[in-house]
Amino acid sequence: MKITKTLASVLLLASIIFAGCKKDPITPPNEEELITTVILSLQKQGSLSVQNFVFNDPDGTGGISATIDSIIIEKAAIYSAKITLLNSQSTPADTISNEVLEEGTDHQFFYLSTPSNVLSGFTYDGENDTNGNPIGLDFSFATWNAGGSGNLKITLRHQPDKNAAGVSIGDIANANGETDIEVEFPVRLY
Amino acid sequence: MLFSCSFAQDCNLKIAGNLLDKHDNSALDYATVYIMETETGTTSDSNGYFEINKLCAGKYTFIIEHLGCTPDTVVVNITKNTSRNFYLEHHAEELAEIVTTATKAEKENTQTISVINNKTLTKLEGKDLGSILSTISGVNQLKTGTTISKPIIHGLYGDRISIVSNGVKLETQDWGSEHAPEIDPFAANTIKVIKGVGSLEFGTDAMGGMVLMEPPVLRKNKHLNASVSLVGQTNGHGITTSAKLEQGFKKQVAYFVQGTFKYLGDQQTPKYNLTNTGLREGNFSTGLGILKKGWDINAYYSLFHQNLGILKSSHIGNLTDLQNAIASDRPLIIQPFTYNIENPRQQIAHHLAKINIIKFFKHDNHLDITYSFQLNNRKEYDIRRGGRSSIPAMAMNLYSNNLLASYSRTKQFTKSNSRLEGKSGLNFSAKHNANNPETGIRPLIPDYYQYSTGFFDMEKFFIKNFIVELGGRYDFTRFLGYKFDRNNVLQKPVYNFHTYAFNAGGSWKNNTDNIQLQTNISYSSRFPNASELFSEGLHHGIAALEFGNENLKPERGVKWVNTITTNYKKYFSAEATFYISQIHNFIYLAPLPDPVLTIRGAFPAFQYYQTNARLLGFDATINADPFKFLSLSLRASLVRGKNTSANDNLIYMPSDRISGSAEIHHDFKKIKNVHLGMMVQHVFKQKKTPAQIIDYKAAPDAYTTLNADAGFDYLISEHHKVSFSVTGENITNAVYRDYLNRFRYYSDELGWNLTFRLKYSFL
Repeated sequence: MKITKTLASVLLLASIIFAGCKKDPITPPNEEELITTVILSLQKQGSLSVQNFVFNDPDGTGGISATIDSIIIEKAAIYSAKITLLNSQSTPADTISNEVLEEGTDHQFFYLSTPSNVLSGFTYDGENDTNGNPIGLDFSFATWNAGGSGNLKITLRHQPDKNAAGVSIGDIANANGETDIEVEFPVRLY
Repeated sequence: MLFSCSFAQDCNLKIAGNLLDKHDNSALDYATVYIMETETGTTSDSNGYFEINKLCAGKYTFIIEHLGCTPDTVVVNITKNTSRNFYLEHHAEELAEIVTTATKAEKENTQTISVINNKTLTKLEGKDLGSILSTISGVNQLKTGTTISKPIIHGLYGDRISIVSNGVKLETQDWGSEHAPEIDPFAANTIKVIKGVGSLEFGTDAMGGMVLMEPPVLRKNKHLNASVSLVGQTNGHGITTSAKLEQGFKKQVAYFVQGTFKYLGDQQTPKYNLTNTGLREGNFSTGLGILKKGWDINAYYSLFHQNLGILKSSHIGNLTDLQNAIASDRPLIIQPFTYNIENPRQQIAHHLAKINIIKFFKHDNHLDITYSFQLNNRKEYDIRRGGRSSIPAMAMNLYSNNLLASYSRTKQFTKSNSRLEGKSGLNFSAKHNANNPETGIRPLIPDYYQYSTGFFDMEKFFIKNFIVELGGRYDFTRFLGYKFDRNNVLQKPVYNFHTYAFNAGGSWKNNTDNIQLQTNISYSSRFPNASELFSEGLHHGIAALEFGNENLKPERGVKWVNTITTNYKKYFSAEATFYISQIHNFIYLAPLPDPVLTIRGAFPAFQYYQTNARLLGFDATINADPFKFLSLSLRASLVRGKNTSANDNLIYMPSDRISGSAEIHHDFKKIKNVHLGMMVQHVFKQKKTPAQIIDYKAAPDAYTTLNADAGFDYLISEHHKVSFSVTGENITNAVYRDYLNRFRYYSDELGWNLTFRLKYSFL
C-alpha cells in the first residue's frame, strides 16, 4: 500500500535525523572571571611580619560553602592592609586583583567595621585610578585601644559612581554600581 | 471595471447554482458565498445550493469559502438571471477546524477556543505576542521589564503552554522566565488560544493551553495582495514597519514574502526614563506553495532577529544591591533618553524552516507530512570585567528537527446525517542544545541531546447538535545531558521519560444556534526541562541562587474546562468559562532553609521541588451591540492557584481583573469602519501570595488604566484601502506596578503612549 510505503520512508528519514547529529561534545568551561579567594594581608606599623587572612570558596558559587579566617590582631595599633584576589580554578591561579587595578576607574573597595569602633580610620592607600580616585586594594586602619571583637566587611563595587558625595572618602552610601565582592571577616583584638 | 448601480437598470437579477468539490463533484454544504462589491453574501444549503437576489447588472467578485477548502475568488459578469456552479479545491487543512479560517468552525469544537482575527490584529500592530494575547480574557502576561513578555494561559506559562506557528511547535529556550517567545505577530493572519490541552498532534505537555499562530493560507489561484504598515509610538520614540506581498498564479502556485522592522529607544514611565530599554527587531518570512493533482506542497522559512536592552538598574550583584534597589522608589540608574542599547542585553535569532506535503484522497481524506528545522540562537550579554563585555555571558544554540506525519479521514453517515472525523499520526523529534564555551562562564543549563517519538489519534463524531471528541497521545523521550561538575569531570546523566495525554469532550448547541455548551477534560504530562533538572547559578535579576533537581519526575495534570456561549441575534453575545486543573508533581522553586555564602555575600537559595497544585478559575466575555453604531464589551477573569501539599498559594498567579470598553462606529460610503472607543481596565491587588516563599517586595496595589482609540478605513477604490488609527494607552499617565512584572522591584510601568498606525492594502 501507498500509505505503508510512505510510513516506511518516514521511519527511515527519522532514523537519519536521529543518527545525524550525534557527537560527543564539549570542552569544560574556563571561568576566567571567577573570584574564588580574597587574601587580606595585614602588616602592623613598625613590624616586619605580614599576616594573611583568607576568604576561600574554591568551587565558586554554590557547591561547598566558603571558608573564612578570623582576623586576630593587636589592639591599639595601626595596620596597613593589602587585598589580593585570586581565581584558584585556573592553574596557575589567576591574580584577579591585577584586572581590578587595570580597570581602576570601574572598581572601588569599601570597608566597614561593626561595631564601628573596633576598627576605625580607614584610609585609602596605594595606587589611584587614572582619574585620581581611590581603588582601595591597599588601605590602612587603626584598632581600638580597648580591644574587643566584631566584623570587617569588605565590599568591591563594579562601575560605582565615583563622583557621588562621600564615595572618594570611602562612604558606600551613594556609590551604587554592582557588588562583585562582599565578604565579612570576624575580628578579634587582643 | 467598477460595479455601479447608478444607471437606471435592472436591479432585480438573480444568481443561483451549486457549490461543488472540484475532484468528485460532491456538494459543499454550508459554504459561504460572498460578493465583495456589495458586501453581501449567503450560505449554501445542505445540498450545496445557493442563490443571491436583487443584484444589478455588472461585474461582481465572488469569494467562495468552505471549511477545509482553499477560498476561491471568481469574477462573474451578470447581465441576466444567471445559473452558475462554483468548484472548490476541497481539503481539510488540519483536523480540527482548529486550523481553518471560518469563525463558525470555532464552535465545532469541544475545547474552548478564543480567536484574535485579522481585524483585531490590525488594531494591535506593533505590539508583541504577549501583549496581543492578553486581550483575551483568561490570558495574562508575565513580563520582565517593558519589552519581554510571556503569555500566561489560565495561570500557567513557559513550558506548560505550547506555541504553534504555522503548524510547527516553536522550540525555544522557553524555560527562562525572561525569554519571550521568538515570534513576529505581523506574520500571523489569525491567532487562536486553546484553553485546554490543544491539538494532540503537537505534544502532551500543553497543560495550560496552546497558542496557534496562523499565517494567511496560500491561496493557489490567481490573485495579488499586498500591504504595508507603518506604526509610530511616542513612548520610546519607536517605529515599526511591516510589508507583505502575496501572489498566486493560474497554475495553482502561490508565494508570499513578509518582513518587519522595529526600532525602539528607551521607554518612559510617568516620572522617569527607563535606561537601556531599547529594542531592535528584524523579521522575515517567506513561503511557496504548489497545488497539483491532489498534492499540496508548501515550503516556509522565517527568521526572527531581536536585540533588546535590559533595564540597567535591574542588574545587581548581591542581596545588598537588591535591598538598595528596592528601598529606592525609582531605579538607581536613570540616564537621559537614548536609542543606544548597552549591556545587559539579549540578542536572539530564531530560524524556522518547514516543508509540508499533503496528499489528498477521496472524501477529504488526506496524508499530511511536515518536516521542520529550527535553530534558536540566544546570546545574553552582561556587564563584565576585563574587557569581556563584548563576549556573551550566555550563548547557546538549540537545534530542533521535527517530523510530523498524520492521516486525516472523514466518514459521512448519510442516513443519520452524522460524520466521524479522525486524525492519527506519528511524530519524531531530535533536539540538541549546544553551549558556546567561549563565554568563560559555567553554563546555566548544560548541553544535551533529546530524542522523542510519539503517536496520537484523535476522533471527533458529529451528530445533529452534538459533537463528541476523544483523543490520545503517547511520547517516549530520551534525554542525554552532558554536564561538567565542579571538578570539571564530564557527567552524562540519561533520562527516559514516558508522557501521555488524553482528551475527551462534548459539545451541544440548540437548534437556533443561540446556546452552546462545551465541556472538555484532558490529561497531560510534561517532563522536566534542562533548567529544572540542572540549572545552577545566580539569577541576577532577583538576587537568588537557583538549583536544579536531577530527581524530578514528569508532571501529570488533569484539566476540566467548561464553557457556555450564548447569543441573541446581533445584539448580544456572551461566553463564560470555568476550569479546574489538578497537577501532580507540579515543579516549582522552593526556598532552601539556609542561605548560601558566596564571595558576593550570602544569597537566598532556591531549588526545584515537586508538589501537588490545583488551579481553578473563571473567565467571561460579554459583548452587546444595542444599536448599529454602538458596541459594548465587558471582560473579567480570575484564577486561584494553590500548592495543595504545602497548603500555600502558588507564586506568580495573575490577580483578578475586569475591563470594559465602548466603541461607536459607522460605515460611510467610501470611509468605512470609522470608530472611536474607550477601554478601562482595573487590576486588583494580588492578595493570595505564597506565605512560604519570600518576596522582597509586597505585591503592588490595584491599578486602573484607561486606553482610547480612533480610526477609519478609506476605500480608495475597489482594490485599494488605507487604514489609519490612533491609540492612546494609559492616557491618564497612571503610576503603577504590576505583580506579574519581575521588574516591579525596580521601576514603575510605562507612562502614556500614543501609537499611530497607517496601513495600505492592495486586495
